[in-house]
Amino acid sequence: MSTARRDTGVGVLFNPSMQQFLSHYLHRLDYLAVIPDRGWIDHGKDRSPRFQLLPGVMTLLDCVARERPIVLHGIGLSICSAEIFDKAYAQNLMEWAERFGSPWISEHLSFSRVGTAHELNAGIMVPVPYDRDVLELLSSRVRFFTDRLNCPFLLENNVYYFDYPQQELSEEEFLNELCHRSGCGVLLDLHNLYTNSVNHGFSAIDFLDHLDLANVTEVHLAGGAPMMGYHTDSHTGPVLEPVWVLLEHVAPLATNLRGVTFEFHESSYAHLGEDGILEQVERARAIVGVCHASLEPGSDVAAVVSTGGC
Amino acid sequence: MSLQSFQQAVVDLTLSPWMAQELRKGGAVPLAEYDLTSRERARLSNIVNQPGISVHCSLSRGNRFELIVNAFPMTCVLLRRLLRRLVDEFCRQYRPTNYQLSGEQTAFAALVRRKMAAGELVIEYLDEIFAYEMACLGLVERMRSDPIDEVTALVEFEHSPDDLLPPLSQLKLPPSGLRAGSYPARVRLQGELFKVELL
Repeated sequence: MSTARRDTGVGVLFNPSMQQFLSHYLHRLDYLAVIPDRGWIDHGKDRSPRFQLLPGVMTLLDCVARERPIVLHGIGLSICSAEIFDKAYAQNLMEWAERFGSPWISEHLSFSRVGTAHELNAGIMVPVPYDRDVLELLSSRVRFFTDRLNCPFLLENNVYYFDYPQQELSEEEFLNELCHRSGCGVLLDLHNLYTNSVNHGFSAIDFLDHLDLANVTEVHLAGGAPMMGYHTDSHTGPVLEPVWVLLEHVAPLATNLRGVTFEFHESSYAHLGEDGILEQVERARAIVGVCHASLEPGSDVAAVVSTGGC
Repeated sequence: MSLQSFQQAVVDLTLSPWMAQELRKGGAVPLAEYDLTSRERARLSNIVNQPGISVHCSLSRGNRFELIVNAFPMTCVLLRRLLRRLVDEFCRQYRPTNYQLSGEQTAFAALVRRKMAAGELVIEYLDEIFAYEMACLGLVERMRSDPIDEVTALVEFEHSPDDLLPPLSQLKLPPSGLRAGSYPARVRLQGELFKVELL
């Protein structure tokens, strides 16, 4: 892969096992991805104040933010819920983006929340059927963000273990159309794609050939594990070899790619170790061709990653 | 309304695998309460027959169970073979109501407490270890909301914590028949480290 990109950074998705790692190696990352939902207690829609910030997490993030950009990866919006569009949550997410000057923020193309009077949560991201009515619903919700944010809003392709029959659009068509209509970008989770391709028997490369990769702003990389005859998106261990191959395929074609993020479950920290995490970071960096200058705040790459920050 | 109802049915299926089993048997009854189009009905009938639905439901349950086992690892070790049945019962009785799954630990603790009070969980060391882990959970919550150098709680052990806690912290059962007595102890949480000192 010969494309040299100085505007694509490499980061890690924060989990609580990483505090010591960050104190030693934050300078080896171009940005830190953070699940903001881990930084607050949500007391519920009827409570005021609804969101209680967790001081320990905020202190850490404020400290990180002085050194590196923070990108936000939400898990609680459930943007595809037909019955719920939680504008207070969305507003809170956007305030976080502003507070940290995030270069972009993302959520999942899925739902987990149903019910208004008595809300229920599935405990997992549930896929939506790729139909035109879902596309319509989602487009207006994405525009809620794109009209208000000064940074890109991305949606992540979901992992799914069952498949809805008779969908009106393929996943690639759905994502292409959604980006075109709403102005959102794609967070392309290559491990999700790999997992789906293995479990449902399709070619991940064919998928990528049909996806408009110019919409891809961020890529996620992860490991997984077998369970009940399926490959699962467990985020255990290092990035799998076939996922690296997919990154090699995507990197030169995704002309607007700005970040490659390694994510792992906190239970894998001991297994990976600091060297193992850095190995994933450096391999990703080599693939996207970033020249890793000394990334002091304000240096080239950090500045470019921050471009468009809120 | 239809898409809402469809999503409600998929979440109900996710949280209630026995509903999928009923549907697989061919009964339309479980879907009667949902306002569904014929395509949505066909989709639900199709997905319950895909093996992946079991993985999906198991992962959902795993995400919920992770919070419980993180809060009550030693209690789970002591529950051993009863744990699966207890988690089944928990999942039937309680369904998560928010995206942070914040009520799971409290609801599981309430179930364990009810079972212990009813004499359905008579397991050596369970009462004191459960009380200890409840105290630890309380300390973690306090520290989370208001980080200070140290928070403490008092716990009354009936067996020496020096004999009980080391094996359980390695997820092993302590030896049976430890000498009973009164062992009041102070539990300290400093940073992420718990310390237990006998009083």
